[in-house]
Amino acid sequence: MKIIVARFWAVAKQAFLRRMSSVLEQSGRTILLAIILCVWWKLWQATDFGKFAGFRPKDALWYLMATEWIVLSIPYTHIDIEAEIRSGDFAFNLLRPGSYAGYQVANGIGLSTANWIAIGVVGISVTYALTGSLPDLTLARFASVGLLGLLAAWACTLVMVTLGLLAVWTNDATPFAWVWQKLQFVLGGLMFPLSIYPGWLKRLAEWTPFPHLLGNLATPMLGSGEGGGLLMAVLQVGLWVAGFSLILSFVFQRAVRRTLAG
Amino acid sequence: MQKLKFYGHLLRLNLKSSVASGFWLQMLFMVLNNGIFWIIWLIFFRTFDQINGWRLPQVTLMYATAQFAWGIKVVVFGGTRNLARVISDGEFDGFLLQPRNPLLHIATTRSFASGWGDILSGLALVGISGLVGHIGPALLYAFALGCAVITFTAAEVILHCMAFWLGPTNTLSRQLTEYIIMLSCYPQNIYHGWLKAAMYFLLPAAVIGLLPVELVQGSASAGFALAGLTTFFAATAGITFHRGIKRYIGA
Repeated sequence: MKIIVARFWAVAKQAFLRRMSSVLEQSGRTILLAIILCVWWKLWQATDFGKFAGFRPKDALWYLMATEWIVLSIPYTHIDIEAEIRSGDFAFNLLRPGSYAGYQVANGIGLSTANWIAIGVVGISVTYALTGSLPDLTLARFASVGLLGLLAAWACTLVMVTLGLLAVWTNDATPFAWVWQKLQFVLGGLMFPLSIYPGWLKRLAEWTPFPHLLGNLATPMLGSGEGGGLLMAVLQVGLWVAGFSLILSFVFQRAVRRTLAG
Repeated sequence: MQKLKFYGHLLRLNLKSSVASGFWLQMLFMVLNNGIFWIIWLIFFRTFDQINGWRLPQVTLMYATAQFAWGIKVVVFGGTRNLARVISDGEFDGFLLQPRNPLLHIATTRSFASGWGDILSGLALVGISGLVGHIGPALLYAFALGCAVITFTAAEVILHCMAFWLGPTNTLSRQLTEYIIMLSCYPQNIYHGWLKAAMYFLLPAAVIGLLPVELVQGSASAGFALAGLTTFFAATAGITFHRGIKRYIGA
């Protein structure tokens, strides 16, 4: 057990160091975040903000920064897995000691942690430069939003590995990732908090993992006591991690069986 | 004529190959993908009345145009998505040796099935916007869409031509192209000053998103601006590519 943990730790560490040193990869995501924040800041300035459920433009931008921080930290692991399945490397890698799915999860965790650091630094700096103020939060609460976001990004890494494995059946995992990502945007409350959604959409969203892994974690940024308790948030993310792990394990076993049978 | 036949044949072959590999999955999921994102605008306009005079129909038409134009681009000229890789990996030599226009040849070497999903969702959203219901606006829109396709292709070619001078820039070129797509999906009437200029001349999101909507709404100046800027981007792409070839041969 100790050896397995050490092996996955080494994989995650290597992925982290690799991504941290890749200036091009990091700049692509961070510039994208800066553009998104600038576009939405301009959009909020062009609208009648008084109607926005009592939130101020700066609160809305800090909220967006927090949700984008999570979304952009999630690595595109499914693309690598899809490529390996198409090229046949997936079958070859199954022969290696150690779990292929475990390797991909550890690799994804390393990448998402590196993304999280770069995006956090740029996101906080750009949002502060645009709004001219910090969110109305204590430093500890602000840090908890960030750390819970990292945990959510790790949970979503499990999903990206699962989606990548679907290529064993369809030869193409990217379309699944598109839809997952867009559902995350809409049902997770990427741009706006769920509190402004129509009732039916809000109720629908609450039955999915998306708000627990995105919008709910960012709502403290809106100030005015928005957002649930910290413990509840940790519990919800933890439950989704457990659920996604079970699904990944099931899909991986099926994928291995299908590959070996083929 | 013979050249046209060649490119027509190449296009048919690419379409056949894109249909063979996961066509329905990519197309359907792209329609879903675009449709789900549009819901964000529905929610937005449920809370806010307008963005600098634009309401849901205008924003829907803008979003539809970006999807529609990008869909046509990746179906017909899908090869430009890999232009930087073709240049930096040395595959470009093969295209230079053939008696065809290398840019057009590379552009027509690939077709992406997901583009059909963009075309379908674009068509549906144009209908939903309700702004292109009559023959006059429909003809103007067809012209604007053609300009948007040319501008998308030209901008992508310019960005990928960086590989002639900077080496392997495929990831960077693709990322910059994605920024243009993303910016085309948000109203460009919110910018002022240098940001507005950048939306017209640097990352031409306004040429793809804003001008077609204004043209359909009867702005003649938008039509002239659209024609002028499309010509500008097409010419810049052609010049950049030919300068790049000179450098490539010289190197």
